[in-house]
Amino acid sequence: MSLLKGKQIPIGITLVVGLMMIVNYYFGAALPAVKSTTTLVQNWTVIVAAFALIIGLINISRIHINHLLKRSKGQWFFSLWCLAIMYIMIALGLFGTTKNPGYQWLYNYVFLPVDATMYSSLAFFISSAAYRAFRARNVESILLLSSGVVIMLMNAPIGEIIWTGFPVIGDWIMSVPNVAAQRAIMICVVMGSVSLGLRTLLGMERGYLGREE
Amino acid sequence: MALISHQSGLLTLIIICGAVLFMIYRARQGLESEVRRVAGIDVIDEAIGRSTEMGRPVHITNGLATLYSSGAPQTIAGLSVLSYVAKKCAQNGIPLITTIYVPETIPIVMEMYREASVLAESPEWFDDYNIRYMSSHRFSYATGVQGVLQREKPAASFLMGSFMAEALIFAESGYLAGAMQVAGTAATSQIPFFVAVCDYTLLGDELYAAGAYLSQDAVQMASIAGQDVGKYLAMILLLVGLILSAMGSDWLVNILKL
Amino acid sequence: MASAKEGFWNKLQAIDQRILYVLIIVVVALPLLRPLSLPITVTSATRTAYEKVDEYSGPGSVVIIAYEFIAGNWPEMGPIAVAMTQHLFRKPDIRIILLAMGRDQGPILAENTLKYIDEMGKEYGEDYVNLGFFAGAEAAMASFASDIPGLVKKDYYGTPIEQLSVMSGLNDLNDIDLFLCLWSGTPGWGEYLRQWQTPYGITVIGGTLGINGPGAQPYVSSGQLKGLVVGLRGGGEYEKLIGKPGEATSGLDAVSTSHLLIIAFIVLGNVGYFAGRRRSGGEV
Repeated sequence: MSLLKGKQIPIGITLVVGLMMIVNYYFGAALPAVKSTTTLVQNWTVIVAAFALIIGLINISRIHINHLLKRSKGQWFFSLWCLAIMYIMIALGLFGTTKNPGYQWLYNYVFLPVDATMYSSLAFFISSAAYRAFRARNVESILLLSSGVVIMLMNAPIGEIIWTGFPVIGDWIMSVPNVAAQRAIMICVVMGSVSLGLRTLLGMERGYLGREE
Repeated sequence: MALISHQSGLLTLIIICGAVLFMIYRARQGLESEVRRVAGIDVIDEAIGRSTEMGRPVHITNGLATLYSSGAPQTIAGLSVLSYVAKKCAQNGIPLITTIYVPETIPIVMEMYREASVLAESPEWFDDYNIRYMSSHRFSYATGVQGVLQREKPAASFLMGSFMAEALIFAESGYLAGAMQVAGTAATSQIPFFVAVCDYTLLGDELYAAGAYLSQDAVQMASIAGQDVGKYLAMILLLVGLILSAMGSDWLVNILKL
Repeated sequence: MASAKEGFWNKLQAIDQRILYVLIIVVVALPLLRPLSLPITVTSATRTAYEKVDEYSGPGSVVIIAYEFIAGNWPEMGPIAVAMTQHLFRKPDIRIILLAMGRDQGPILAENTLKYIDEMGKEYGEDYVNLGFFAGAEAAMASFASDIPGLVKKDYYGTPIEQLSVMSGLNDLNDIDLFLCLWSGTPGWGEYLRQWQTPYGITVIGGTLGINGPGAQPYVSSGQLKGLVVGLRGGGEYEKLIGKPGEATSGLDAVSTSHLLIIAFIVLGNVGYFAGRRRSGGEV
């Protein structure tokens, strides 16, 4: 019983599956049994993750039904709308597949425009963030500010009309300092993820299992 | 050799893992490694303290990456931070609202909340209403988190994980709600937005180090030192490659393509 | 008097963001209603991508287009997808395979794309096919790359693959001549890089959001991406190259005006910052 309540089993599973993935990536061509087992486990992962959506569905439903029952002020009608649209889409998708005309209509004429609207709201947030944050306080912020302005004018057709040098400088910024910085961050991120992966496989990184203190 | 794929990558992995394991071994022998202070991690306690004083909740979200995707390390690192934050919030008796995109983390987060309430000897702190799955669609998740930030007005907001375009939505909404914001991501496209808007940002591998850093365990901290060997290796390869390519040689490029 | 002037400079740094938002709406909406028709110059990056598509899609070639983006990205990715897909549909005697392995919305967006293009007499099933979405991201990509018939049993509409001549003779990724990767995030290019480009050396041309452009540049520099079309600007340039102006072309005027407005905000904020700092520094 104590073995089941402890963290040894999940750490053990993590180690075995993690090693299997690593061995498959490098030696899969030489070990067809490992390759086929890994593919099987990966398929299981996709199926388990799909079932996890049901947990999410239950979680959302509980929270919003709770709001409905309590008639939470300023909230209950949004909860009703959320539940209604969610279950309608689920029903249409399940019983009619995604090619169902009703599903397609809701997707193309409700979901797609609303989704695009949310993405478009970034324009407002970017403008207020740029206005507030781009202050030339020191050398680094001056560099950030000036390269940001040059890249903006490189991307906008009007930039070239103002000065033909903007696309040239912008292209240089994208191809040289940007590539250098991206590569440096990528290398550091990879090192960090290898270290984190090793800690996870060895059972040292237990934060995701809950801290033991 | 043809039966081994990505030989150069395997060799690099062996070197880096060897270095990390060596540093862990050294730490177990009592030779501790010095890790520089990371402001974004040090300030977590301050942010939670601010929330306690103001009597407002804390918010945390762990981003978009599923546990089986290439961004999973970011989610794992974010969950490590969440675990620490949950413990602190339970000790201080302030609500912690977790907004979730990845549904398979719901049981993990629930378990963290339970453990935090038990460790703080405060079982009433556990309230699964504060664990809120939003959606597995990005902008639905963004809208949900935005709503939570605007309605609940947390005093501290932690954005730890893999984010894309919605990062700026979260950051600006948190700013408008008056929250102290600490963000951490390895998504290079979003780092500039977090740096511009949030109070503190963990860049790239600083997020991965957060779990080890917060544990203050010498052995885990040693693993952070070990990954520096990989960075030195990269620098050496860069210099050697620069010299060789200036001499017109493709030798190193061909070796690394193996 | 001094404090009034200081107040003015401080106010300049703290303009109510609702005013900023209203101005953004105005400068974005006006050019869409009354186009400015600012000239669009094609940059070398987009031109390179266009030329590489031409080079690798000759008669007899097989091309895959992956639609790895979501509905919310349509305003920016849609023009790229439409322009690049149209470019390929104009090619004689090629086979075009549309699919998605990272984004379940990909097949629907592929269908959306086809609504905007002239199929140039190409027949579904013979010249092009929509294979739909394959769950599993990297696992699906790896399976597809090594054994296409093993993974692909039917198309998006449920038609068995045996009935679709466009898929005949395709065994693995070595049979594919060109891969167009249209991605907006993860899963996307990174996964295809690991499972397709690195092991098989397939020729890849990318199309992505403006925000992903800087992150994808290292792959263009290293040659792993033979070309890259970035953002609405890239979409507008590609539309110009194929001679079919579309949504990107009409949207670029709004890009110009909104960018100028944001720069104006930044300048205003800095003017207020420096003037306010000088004032308070000079009046100790």
